[in-house]
Amino acid sequence: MTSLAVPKPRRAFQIGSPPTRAKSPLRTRSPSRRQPWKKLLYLNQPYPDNYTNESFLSQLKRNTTVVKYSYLKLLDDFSLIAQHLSNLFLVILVFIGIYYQNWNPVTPIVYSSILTIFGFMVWDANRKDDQQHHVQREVEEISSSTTTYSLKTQRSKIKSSIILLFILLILSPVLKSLTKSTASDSIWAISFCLCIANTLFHEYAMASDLANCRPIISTNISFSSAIVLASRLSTNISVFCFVLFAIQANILLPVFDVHLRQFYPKAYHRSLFVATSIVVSIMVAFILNIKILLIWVMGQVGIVFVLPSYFLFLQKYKNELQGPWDPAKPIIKTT
Amino acid sequence: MASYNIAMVTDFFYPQPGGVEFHVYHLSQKLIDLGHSVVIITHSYGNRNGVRTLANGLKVYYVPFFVLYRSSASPTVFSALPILRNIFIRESIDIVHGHGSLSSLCHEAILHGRTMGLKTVFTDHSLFGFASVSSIMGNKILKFTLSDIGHVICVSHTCKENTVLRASLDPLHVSVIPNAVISNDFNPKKRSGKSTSLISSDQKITVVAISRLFPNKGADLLTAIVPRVCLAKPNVNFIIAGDGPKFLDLEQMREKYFLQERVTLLGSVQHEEVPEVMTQGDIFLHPSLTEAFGTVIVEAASCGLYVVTTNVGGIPEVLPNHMISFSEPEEESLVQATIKAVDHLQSGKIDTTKFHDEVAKMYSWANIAKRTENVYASLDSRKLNQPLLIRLQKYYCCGPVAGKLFILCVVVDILIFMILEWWYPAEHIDRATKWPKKGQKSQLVMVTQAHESDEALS
Repeated sequence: MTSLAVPKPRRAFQIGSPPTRAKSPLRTRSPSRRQPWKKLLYLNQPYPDNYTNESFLSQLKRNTTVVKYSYLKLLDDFSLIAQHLSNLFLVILVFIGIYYQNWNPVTPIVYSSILTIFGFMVWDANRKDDQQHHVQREVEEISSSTTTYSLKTQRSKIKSSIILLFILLILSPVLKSLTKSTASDSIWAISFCLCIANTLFHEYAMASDLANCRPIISTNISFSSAIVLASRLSTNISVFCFVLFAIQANILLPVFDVHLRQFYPKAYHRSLFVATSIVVSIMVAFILNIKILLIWVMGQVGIVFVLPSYFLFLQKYKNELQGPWDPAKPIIKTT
Repeated sequence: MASYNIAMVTDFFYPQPGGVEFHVYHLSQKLIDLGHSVVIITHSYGNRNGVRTLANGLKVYYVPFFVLYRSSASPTVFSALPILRNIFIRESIDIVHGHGSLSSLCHEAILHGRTMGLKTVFTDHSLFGFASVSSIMGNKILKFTLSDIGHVICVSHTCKENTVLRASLDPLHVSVIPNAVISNDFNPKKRSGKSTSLISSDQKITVVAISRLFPNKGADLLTAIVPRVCLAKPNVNFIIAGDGPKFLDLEQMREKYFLQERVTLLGSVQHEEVPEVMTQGDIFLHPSLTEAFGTVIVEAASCGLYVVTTNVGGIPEVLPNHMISFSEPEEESLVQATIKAVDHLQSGKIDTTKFHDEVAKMYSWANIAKRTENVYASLDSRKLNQPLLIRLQKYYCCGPVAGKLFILCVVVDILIFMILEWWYPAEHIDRATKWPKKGQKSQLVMVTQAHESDEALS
């Protein structure tokens, strides 16, 4: 439906030579003396049935719902894809480091945990403000109780994270032996498929807010991907550290980023994106080689800068047709 | 005027009720009256299988095809060719007339008809958008079928615009010929005594709504406005006929607002009962969201009902302003329009007594058949049967991928046709005896008498 030609209206025309109509006296009259054609079915009008008036397709509307995109806004939108890829790649790089290059698994987890705790504090501070605003707006007199309230939720959040940590610690021997009878090739294949699925199902909306952002499918997929990879590792501590790192990078970091986009100026989100990209690029350069680094950087630049302009380029092929034939959308007041 | 042998092909026919079905039946009857020979080809319905003959010698072929979805045969491009070729040759068909853009049998018949070099006409009865996946697919198929069609008929001007866009046609190859009603079947009720039409202000007014209760027929709007009109006008009652997925909503609405005594829900009614239901009312409410023509509102007007409707699709073209009042497809607007119509009826501003005769003058099947005959007469086989390369070019323009696919279909169809010609030559197919035409009845009797006397002599 790329190039749908909209036919131009033409003047009166006689189909073939229908004998009954050709004999009608009305045809001999000049068009100016005829009464004008009306778009009505109940009148017996002195026009042939295939008469096409100038008003033909006058109610046709084209591209009414089309949005004008700005390149800068698209840059932001597409950077989310690049950022999600960086996060996924970060986990894979750490896995390569632990599995092939015998890294001490504790080192990355220490850095990432420090960052996570810092992030949690930022997130929590803002939550507190937000809740206070919320409560103050609703009921002013109980503002004194809000701090205790948020303290309670904060404490429960920390408690549940610690419980989860211990569960993970308990489960890591199980995870370690999970795929012992499976060949590594199969694991890499599964992990690759899961990564593809993860990129497809991830929530890329720029203006998503925390309340609505529940990326259940992508969270589950990244978690299973982490478990599948972790089951290749040899020691309990490395399994635990790797899964924890994967959770921090693939689940908590996106949530934190949504939070940044929601409450802070865009510069914060952009700097987070640039920082992750740089970290990943450096790791690629050290763990892998320069060739892959080049491909990676080109891929990122392509996603962030080239894809938006291609998207804008495609817009000119947009050809939406709307008219009276579309089913009306009824407006019903909710009672 | 020459007499034609016409094959009406559609997936939708009796015993199924509906607009296309009635259109095909009545058009065929009137064409037979005009001296043509008409057969209808449809797929089998249950044990209704084989050839049946209806009134006036209208022959119906119920061909056993596998029904895929909503009584539409499965879209196999070539499988119907042998049987359709057989029927076309058997009945010496000149013109293949397909109905309904969702009918795959109709698409196949038009393709095979073109392969056999017959004249083809297509009637579109419905409106389609351009946005959804299903309509994109449907429009592609329509484009394929109509690339090499003789002429297209649409039931309203809006439908014409829609079809021209969907199939990229030249608007001059598209005629607008509306549906009609048998006005004798839709008579107004005989009002008793002196007050012939005027409704006094204390008299009860009944609003009738007849539609399949689907979301696209505006069942949600109906559910929303009934309680509001009932609240505003205590002397208004409702009769709602029709069944569908939204029936439950209506029942719930009736119970929620305690309207059991004022709102009658009839459920599904047979088509022959429709006039009976209509004549119980004074106002016909038609909240549909999309409609190519809206035969039901013409039927209602013929029964002497004032029509309140949404101005969607082809509806604004159908009835003159004194019979109908339009509203936006919005709850508020429809409520206002209904209340206004009730007020006008009570104050006697609307005279519904002449509606029946006026509608009878506007829409008659005889007129429709005459206009369809004109379309048939305009078809020129010499112009239609161009060299194959030119025909293939038309299909090739349908799209970068689709065009090639369509050409493949057409070429394969021609190959299969050639194989059939060799394997089962046309001379070996029996020609059906035509039903005697009305004017020729006496002639036929004479011929048979002569034949008998010949036999007696020998």
